[in-house]
Amino acid sequence: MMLLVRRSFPATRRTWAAAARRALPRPALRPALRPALVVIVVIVVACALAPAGAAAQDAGGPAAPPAAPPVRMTGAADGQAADSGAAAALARAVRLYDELQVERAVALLRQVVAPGSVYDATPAQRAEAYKYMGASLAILGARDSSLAAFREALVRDPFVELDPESFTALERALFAEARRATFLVAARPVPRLTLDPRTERLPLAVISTHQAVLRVELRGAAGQGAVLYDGEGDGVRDLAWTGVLGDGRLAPPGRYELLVAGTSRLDGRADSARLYLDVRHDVEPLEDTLPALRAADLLPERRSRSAAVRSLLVGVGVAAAAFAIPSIVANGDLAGGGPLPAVAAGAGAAGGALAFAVRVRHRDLPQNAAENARRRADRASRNAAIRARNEGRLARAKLVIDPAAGVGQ
Amino acid sequence: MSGTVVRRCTLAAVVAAVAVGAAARPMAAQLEPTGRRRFDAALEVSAAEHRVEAGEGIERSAGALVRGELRYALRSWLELRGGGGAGRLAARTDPAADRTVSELGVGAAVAPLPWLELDAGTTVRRYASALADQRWVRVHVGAETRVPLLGDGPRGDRLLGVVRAALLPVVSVTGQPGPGLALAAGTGLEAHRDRLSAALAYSLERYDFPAVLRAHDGARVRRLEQLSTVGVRVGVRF
Repeated sequence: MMLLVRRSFPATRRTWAAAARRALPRPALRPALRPALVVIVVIVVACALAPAGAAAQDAGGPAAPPAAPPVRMTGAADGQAADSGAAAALARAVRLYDELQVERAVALLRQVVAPGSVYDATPAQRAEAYKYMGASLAILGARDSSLAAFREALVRDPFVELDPESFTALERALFAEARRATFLVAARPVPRLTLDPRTERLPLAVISTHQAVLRVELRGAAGQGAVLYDGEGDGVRDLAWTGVLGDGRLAPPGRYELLVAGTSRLDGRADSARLYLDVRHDVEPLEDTLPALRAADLLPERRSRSAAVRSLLVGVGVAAAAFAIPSIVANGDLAGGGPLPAVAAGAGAAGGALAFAVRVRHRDLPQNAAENARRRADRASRNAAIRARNEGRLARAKLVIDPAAGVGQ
Repeated sequence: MSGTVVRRCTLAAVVAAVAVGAAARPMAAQLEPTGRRRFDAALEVSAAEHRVEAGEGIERSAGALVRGELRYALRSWLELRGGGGAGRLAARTDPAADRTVSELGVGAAVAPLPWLELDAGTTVRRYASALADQRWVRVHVGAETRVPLLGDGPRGDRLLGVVRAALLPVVSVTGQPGPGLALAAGTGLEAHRDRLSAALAYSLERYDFPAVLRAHDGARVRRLEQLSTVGVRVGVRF
C-alpha cells in the first residue's frame, strides 16, 4: 500500500518529499509507515537486491561491484571524482534515494563506504554516502542505524548539512539528534587567494556540531597571532580576517595555524581542529639600504705617529738633496756648488723639524672628522629615505594566502 | 759623457715625458676633478753664483736676480707658464767680468699625479758684459715632485718638499758650439696658505761644452759653465 501511495506522487524523491510535506503531515503518517517500511525492507532485501547486496550487508565481506554501469555524477558527489567508480555509485545511490528505492540505495551506499571497497571513495564521498545512508535508514525506520550513519557523516565532514528542500523533517530531526550526540569543531579549507588588506577580508568558516564555547585563533610560527573569535558557537559561523595580527601590524610572511577549539555546552567534551596557511607578501621590490661605511670610505681622523716621522724624513730628504745636487750634478772641475746649497739644506731640515713638531702635537684631523660626519649623516639620511619608500611599498603589500599541508583535527 | 749618449738620453726623456703626461691625464683629471681655471703670479728674488772654466781658471761672479712668472691653468692637469727676469752678477775672481743677465721663457706643465709634474719649455737668456754679449737659447724637459710635510690634501694650508730635475737637450750659445751635456736640478720647500704661496728653492744648471782649439795657442780647451741660485719666491693665486 505504501508503495502505491508513493507511486501516486511525482516520480522523484525530492518532488515527492516536497509534495508530502505539503499534503501529508509527516508525523500523522509515521505510525502507519513504520511497519510497512519494515516489510518493504524485508521483501526488497530478500528478493530484489539479495544477490548484489548480501555481501555488502556483511561489513566484513568484500563489496560487489554495482550492476549498473557508472554514470556521470551531476549532483552532490565529488566533482573531482566524477568519472570514478565511487562517484558513479554515489550518483546512482542518490538517484535511487530520490526514486524512493531507499533499500537499494542503502545497499549500494554500504558498498561505497565498506572498508576495502572496490570503489575507493574519498573522505568527502564517504561523508556524502553516510549522509544519504542516514537519510535512507531514517525513511526505513532504522533510527539507531540512521543516527550512526549521520554521525559517521559528521565525523568525516562536520560541515555536512541536510537541505530542507531535499530532506524530510524526520531525516533532519534525526540528523540534528546526531549532531547533538556528536561534538566536533572544524574549519572549512581556505582557497588560494590574493588579499588586499586595505579593502578585502579573508573569509573563514568554522563549525561546531552543536552549542559550544568556541575560540578561533590564528597563530604564527614566531608566536604572534590574532584571536578571530571567542564566544558561543552553534553550527557554522562565518568569520573574516583582515590580514592584521593582534599587534595591529600586517601579518608577516610565514606559516600560520588556524586553531579552532571548542567545549561542548551539552556534555563538556572538548575538540579542536587545525588548518595551516602559508602567507606571503606580494609587494613591489624593496630597495636595499646603503651598506655601513667601511674604513676605506672614511678619512683618518687622527694622524699616526709615523706621519710625523715621515714629515721629518721628507725635510731631511730635501736637505740631503740640496747637498747632493752639487756633488752629483755639478762638474767637479768647477769646485762644487759653493755656499748656496747650505741655505736650502738648512731650510729643508728646519721645515722637517717644524712639520715633525706640529704633527706630534696636533694629531687630530678636525677637517677629516667633519667630512666623516658629513658622510655618515648623508648615508643615514639616504637610508632613512630608502626605509620610508620601503615602508610605503610594504603598506601597499597584498597578502597571498595558500592552503598548506597539515590540516588536522 | 759623450754627446751621442746625451742626445739619446735626452730623446728618451722627451718621449717618456710626453707618453707619461698623455697617459696620466685622465688620472689627474679624476684626482682633481674641479678643473677650475686659475691664474698665478709669482716674484722671485735669488742669490746667484755663476762659474765658468774656459782654460784660464775658474771665473766666479755672483749677484742678485729678480724674476717674475705667470702661470695659467687651462685644466686641472695642464698649466701654461711664462716669465722673465734680470740681474747683475759681479766678478768675484780676476779673470771674471761684471755682467748682467736677463731672460725670457715660456713653457707648459702637466700633472699626471698630484705629487708629480712634468714640464717642458724654452728660455732665451742674455749675458752682457763690457767685453761681449752672449745669447743662450735653451729647451728643457723636466720633472718635479712635491711631497707634503704638513697638510694632506691638494688644497688648504700645506708645506711641501720639492725636488726637480731637467734635461736641456737643445742649448744654443752664440759664438760657440752647443754643450754636450746640459742638466739642471733643484730642491726646496713650498708653503701654501689660501691664495698665497712662498718657496725657498735652490737650483743648479750645468753646461759642459765640447773641447775646442784655442786660437792663440792651439790648445784644446773645454768650457764648463754652472749657474746656481738660491732664492725666495712669493706668489698669489687669482
